[in-house]
Amino acid sequence: MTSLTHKTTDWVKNGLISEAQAQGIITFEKNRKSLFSLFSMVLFLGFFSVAIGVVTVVSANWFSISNEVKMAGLFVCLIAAAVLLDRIKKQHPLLFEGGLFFYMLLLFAAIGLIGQVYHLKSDTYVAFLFWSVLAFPLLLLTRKVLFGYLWEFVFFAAVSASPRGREFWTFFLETFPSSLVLSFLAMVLFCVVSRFEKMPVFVRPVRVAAAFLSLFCLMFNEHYVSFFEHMHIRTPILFSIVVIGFCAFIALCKSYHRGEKQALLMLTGLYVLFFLFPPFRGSNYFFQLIILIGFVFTAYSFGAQKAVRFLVAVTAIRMLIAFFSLFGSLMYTGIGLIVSGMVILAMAYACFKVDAYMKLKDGKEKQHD
Amino acid sequence: MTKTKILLFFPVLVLLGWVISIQMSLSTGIDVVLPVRGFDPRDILAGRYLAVSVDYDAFASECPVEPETQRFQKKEAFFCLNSKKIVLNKTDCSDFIKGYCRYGRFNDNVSRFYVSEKISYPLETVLRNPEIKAELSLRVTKEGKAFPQDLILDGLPFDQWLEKNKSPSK
Repeated sequence: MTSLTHKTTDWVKNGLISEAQAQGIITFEKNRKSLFSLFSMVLFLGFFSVAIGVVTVVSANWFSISNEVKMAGLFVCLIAAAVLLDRIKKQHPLLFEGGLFFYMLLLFAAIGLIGQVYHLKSDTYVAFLFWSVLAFPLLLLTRKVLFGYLWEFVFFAAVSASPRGREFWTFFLETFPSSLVLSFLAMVLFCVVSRFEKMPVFVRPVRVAAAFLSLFCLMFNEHYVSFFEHMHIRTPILFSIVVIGFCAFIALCKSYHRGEKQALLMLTGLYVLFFLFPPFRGSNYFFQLIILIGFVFTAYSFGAQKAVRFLVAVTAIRMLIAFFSLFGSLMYTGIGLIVSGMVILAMAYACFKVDAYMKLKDGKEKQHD
Repeated sequence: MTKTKILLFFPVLVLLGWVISIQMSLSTGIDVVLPVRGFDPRDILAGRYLAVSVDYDAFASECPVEPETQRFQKKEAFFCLNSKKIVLNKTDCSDFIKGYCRYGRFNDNVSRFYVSEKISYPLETVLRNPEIKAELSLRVTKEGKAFPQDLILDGLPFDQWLEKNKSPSK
């Protein structure tokens, strides 16, 4: 809150807001119970503890209670929770979110209890998949993206662990063994999903996961497999289909500006070029670095200042990783670190300059408007 | 009914439907008692259970012994309750347990009998004791799905047996 007070004082001094507006902002922020406020964190922890306690008690299988009583108790609890949640939705939104989290965990306990009463045998992934189906409608009621992360993680893990999921991943990783291609596919997913404004609870986790995967695949050398070493006939066919589809998407998407389209097409072109490039010593590091710089340029074209800074930092870390893995002795590692440190400092300076240029450009555009 | 109510009650209705469907198939099922072997692992979601498996080795079997490369593949098979035989074709069988053959053995998809954590260890000890006759009471539905009902030890339900033999591990 102190930093907010400093900020609002600064804004008042610079004539951006009035004294009354500053006071209004401070009061609003003080009264707001955000997801990461101490109150909400304690609330979620409490609900989490109670729900896990219920699951554990169910697991203990207190056999002096008859199956009929157990089942009746389960449904009374579920119905009571649903009725209560419906009642508090409008009056206490934060309590509703906490209760929804509890209700989701209670569904885990319910599946476990029914399985226990009827002695059902099933693979763990089936139980988690079933939970995903049950919890899905609840995601349509929440505004907390955190639930989306939880649900999508469970769903993805359960689907991947299923026999069909394992078959799919075996096929997928045999088709696309190169980390560069995986990075491209994740980038395509990120770009496509980013166009969806609705349903942030579902969309944001997919977007974050795709961005993370796209960058992660560019961070290490170990999983580089050249197209020329492991040639499956389906690999270039499927890769070409994705490339053509993505190019068509970029061309047809009206929300992209000209510069943004050019940057994305340039990035796609780099991936295609490196896909077709024969392998040579250090090729993967070279390709990854060029693509990371391409990412920085693309983020710059989108006017995403924070993303530019973040991607510059990622590029710097990639260079550090390369130096750590390239040189064996302390002498070479030391020299490598000094050189890479200097390159990073140069990048930081360039970033500072680009930042200043972007701010200047922003200001000019506002004046022009 | 509002959208919120529908979404909140959806999981309850699905779970209720699941329970009702199990109950309905159980109500028309027939009871059968078969010998078992077992031990005591744990399940993160549903707690302690005895991993029991019906001892089908005592029955005649048509499970084929496949070549090395195909042994892991599942082949549909049935345990005929009338003839007490494992068959690949159930045409002459009115009551059966549906399962599969793998590695030349029959598997009926029944391998769990949930018990309280308090008695799981004594029961595991009992199941390892060859002198005690352990059997599983199953309710078999028309579709051939078997649901464990009770664990029978020396002809008694396991809770009565435990009551009778207060410290079975000794």
